[in-house]
Amino acid sequence: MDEHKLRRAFVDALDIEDDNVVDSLEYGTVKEWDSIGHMKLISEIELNFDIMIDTDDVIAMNTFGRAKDIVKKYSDEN
Amino acid sequence: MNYFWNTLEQFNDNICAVTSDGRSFLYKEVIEKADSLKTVLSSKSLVAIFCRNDYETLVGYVGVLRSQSIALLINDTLDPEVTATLLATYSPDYVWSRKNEEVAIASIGEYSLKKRDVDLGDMLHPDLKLLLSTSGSLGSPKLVKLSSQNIQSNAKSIASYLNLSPTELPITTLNMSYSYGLSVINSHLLSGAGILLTDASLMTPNFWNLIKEKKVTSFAGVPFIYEMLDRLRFEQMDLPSLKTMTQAGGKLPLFLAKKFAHITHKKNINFYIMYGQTEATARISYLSPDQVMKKYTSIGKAIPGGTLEIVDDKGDVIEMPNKIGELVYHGKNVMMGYAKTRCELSKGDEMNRTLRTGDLSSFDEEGFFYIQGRKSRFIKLFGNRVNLDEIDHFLSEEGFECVTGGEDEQLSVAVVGNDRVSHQQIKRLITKRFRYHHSAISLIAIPEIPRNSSGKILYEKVFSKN
Repeated sequence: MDEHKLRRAFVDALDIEDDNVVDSLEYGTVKEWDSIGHMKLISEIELNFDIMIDTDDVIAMNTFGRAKDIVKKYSDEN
Repeated sequence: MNYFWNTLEQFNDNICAVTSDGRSFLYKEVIEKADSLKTVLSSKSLVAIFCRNDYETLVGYVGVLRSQSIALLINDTLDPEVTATLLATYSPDYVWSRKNEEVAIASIGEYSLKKRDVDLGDMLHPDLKLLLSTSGSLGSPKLVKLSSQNIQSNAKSIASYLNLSPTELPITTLNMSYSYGLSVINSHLLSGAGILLTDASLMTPNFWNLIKEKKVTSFAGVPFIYEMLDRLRFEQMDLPSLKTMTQAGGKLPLFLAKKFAHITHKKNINFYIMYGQTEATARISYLSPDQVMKKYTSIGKAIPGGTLEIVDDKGDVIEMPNKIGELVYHGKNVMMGYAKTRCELSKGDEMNRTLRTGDLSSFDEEGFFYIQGRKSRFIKLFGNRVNLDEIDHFLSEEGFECVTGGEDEQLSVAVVGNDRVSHQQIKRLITKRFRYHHSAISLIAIPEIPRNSSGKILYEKVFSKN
């Protein structure tokens, strides 16, 4: 899994600084990562990694750390 | 007249509120707490309520309804600057909020009631009961003035066409300070139903667990919520208790309207496509679920007790189907008028139960209405009405030469010159000031702002889709 690519998806989708993308970055704790930002983020990740994320994972992806695990899981399946 | 908030005792032993941490409260408990606030409010005053979807906000709201006072509902997450402007403009006598910096005269949970040192001793109109913002997050301190009769008649009408009963349990998806969100609260209180109060987002497992665990029967959604539902593959979800879904707050994109008409049909969920404005307390029309499969592009017909008509440029009523004119609504839920200052809170009804909606519309041979566009320069973003002139004004004050346009869910800014830095700045300014998510804002570069000979901006030339 390309962590750099995932990091860039966060930066682009949420319009936040690269420095802020740390494992503990959590949904709802910064104003950019609200439900609207989350929709954008999921689309960005799906597009860049060419994967389709299941509903349960969409709503479970609440930190950057979790996102890494989830995207890794899908990337391994491919 | 008997307003529903004065007769809630009839539901004493029904569950009124369920909170996301699992507590539940009977109507009699809510009434007791609400009345404890009512007793400390001096006669006819203005009370600002900082709204979250929680028990304390509900109690504060019911308390003000049951008192002689007037409620000004403000979203607790509203930009602090905008909040300060609202407070400065309307000088509420009391504030019900979670903030605790002043000496409280009453408190429940984290919320407390503060008396503010304003003492204007001015007259507040006896019919006035509620003040709502038209745009949710926009900077303008313009408010809609609603009377007790407005609230009562709209709640009653909604409860009637949704067939609400005490067995209902909606989950909150919209803030109570927003007319659509508040209409859910009002119509369910009137029906003696319970309300699951939560600020949990659809994008969290918590929201969906609550629906399953508490056996939620309905929820409301603006177009963006339906986009999220689509993204979450709502069609694959198994939610046996869910019986009703409503949609309002802007036109649903056609493909989503069609898709959800089909999904809800298959799942045996009543899907109501509705239309309304804060100026009409909330609801103006609805499409009956049995029509939704063939008429999903329609906003339906007027709600019980109201009438809709279409008028031409001269103000004459159009009787012919499929002719476009301005949609005009008549009903007891039409606001008293707007307020821009505290002084205007003393004025009585200025609307005479008639609302020119500003939306262009037509009706078909069977009398179903369709929205065809906007007369004025408004778009909807995330359920909030956005006045494009206001954004233009703001950006020009910030020193940018640009005009705004766009459609629902997409704000376009046409900037003179192709300077990337100023494009970024504009985007930042808009997201900061108005709190619109940057993904809903697009920028284009134009050589100049096109105008006609009399200097009027030709918006259609800038934003034409062809």
